Amino acid sequence: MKYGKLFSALSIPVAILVVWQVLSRAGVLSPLLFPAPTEVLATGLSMLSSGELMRQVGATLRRLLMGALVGGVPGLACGLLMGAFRPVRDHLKPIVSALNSTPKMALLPMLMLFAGVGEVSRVIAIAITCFIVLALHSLDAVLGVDPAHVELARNYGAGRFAMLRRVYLPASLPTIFTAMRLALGRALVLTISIEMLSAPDGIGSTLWIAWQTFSTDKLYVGVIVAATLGALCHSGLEWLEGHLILWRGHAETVQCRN
Amino acid sequence: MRLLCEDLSVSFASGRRSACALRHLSFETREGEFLTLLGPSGCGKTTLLRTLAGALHPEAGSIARVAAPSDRNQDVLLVRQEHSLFPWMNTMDNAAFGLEMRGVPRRARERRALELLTRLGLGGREHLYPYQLSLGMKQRVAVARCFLVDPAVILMDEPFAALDCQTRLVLQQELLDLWEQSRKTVIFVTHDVDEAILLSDRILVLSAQPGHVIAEFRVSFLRPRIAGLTLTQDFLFLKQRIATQFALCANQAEAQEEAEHR
Repeated sequence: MKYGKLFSALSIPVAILVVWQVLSRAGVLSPLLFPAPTEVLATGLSMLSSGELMRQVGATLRRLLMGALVGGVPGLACGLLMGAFRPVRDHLKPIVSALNSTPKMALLPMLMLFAGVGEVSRVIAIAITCFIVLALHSLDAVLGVDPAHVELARNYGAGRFAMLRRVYLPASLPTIFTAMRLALGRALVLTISIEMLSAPDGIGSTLWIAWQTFSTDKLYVGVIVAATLGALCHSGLEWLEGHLILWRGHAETVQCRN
Repeated sequence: MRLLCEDLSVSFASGRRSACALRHLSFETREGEFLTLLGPSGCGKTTLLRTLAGALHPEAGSIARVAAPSDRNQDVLLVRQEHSLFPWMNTMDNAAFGLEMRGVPRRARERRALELLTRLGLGGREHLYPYQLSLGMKQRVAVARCFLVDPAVILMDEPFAALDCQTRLVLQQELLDLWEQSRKTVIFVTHDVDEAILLSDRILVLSAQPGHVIAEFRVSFLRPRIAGLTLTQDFLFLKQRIATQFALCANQAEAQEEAEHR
């Protein structure tokens, strides 16, 4: 059954690749616009063996993770504090919400003005994205904690710290994981956009140079790598969540898949 | 510990208007007594227990706690029908939560919890999470968590109401066994007359909202009690008296509700 499903999922992409390969080789498709999949693969492999691919992926990943760390951790703390203390929420939430609806790409020129055109301004832009997503979602998570559970813990004499550690944090964790996936997805989009516009390296930069020099095979390699990176971030966090949060009904997950 | 409630009034905001859940309610428990409050649904029983547990504050009246020398602590713990367990803790951590909050070291609290869990038929299930447990098992864990702390007063808010008949009988018996050993003051809320008589020393019948006491019955059957008691002549006689009183106030409640709708 499992293999049958895998087969169904792969059949259409494989069929497209085969048709593409045949048409490209036969000269029906312009090899300049649509290089044969085997050629794209060859380019990809040569970029890999020359170390260029890893260098570019590394640059993108470094920016992404730096931004996620610098923005995400304070974002989480800010969200939890906003959830726990009403005055903090009243003061900060309007600003964070307003920033949430601002396209972060629009902030880049301004950030470059303050922090220079180098790496710092890029990481700050990515960090802002992660900060906002984490802050708003962890705030929601804390506010969404069932008051009955809070009352239960209080009845058993839980103090402030115990309440945070044993009730608020575990109850918020699923939402926080969703926020991390969302933040990383958005941050990847932003990272690649920034690299296209103003970075000396990274996948975005590779893509843009490939476009300008009309190296279509490199262009396709770039797209595939970017897509893979996104998928890996997503499923990596999902895997981590599955191993950290054991209490959410597995039965439910199975039902959803059907 | 004894609880003395005098002239208690509690209301809570529901939507725009504030509903009065209890008005001028006075009663008191005796030391080591199993007291049951019997009332139609919506008569403010849950509100009363949450107030006694300290989660709600009365608008008027007072609750006095009179400690007894046999009390190990001053805890007044509530066992609820729903949301009784933390979904993110396994059976062991849920059961040992009260001990954890009291600073009992992990090994000691897990040993004590396991002992009681095993006695309640949950041995070998201590690593399961609440979503993997049946309703009956969940309520057993909640009861275990409460008894492990050995509180001065135990408040129970229809803990067995959602269970099927068979499971309820088993859990009632288990509760009786546990309680007859510790003899702590219990205030038990239910709308099941059989359950009330089987478990308690004294029954107070509450009126519809806002609740106040309209009748009191003593239940003097010998302990330890067993489920077979519910089929004896004396039991049925008492049940008839209580049920009549209970039906009366349930009718009142319905009439009142109708009047409000008009």
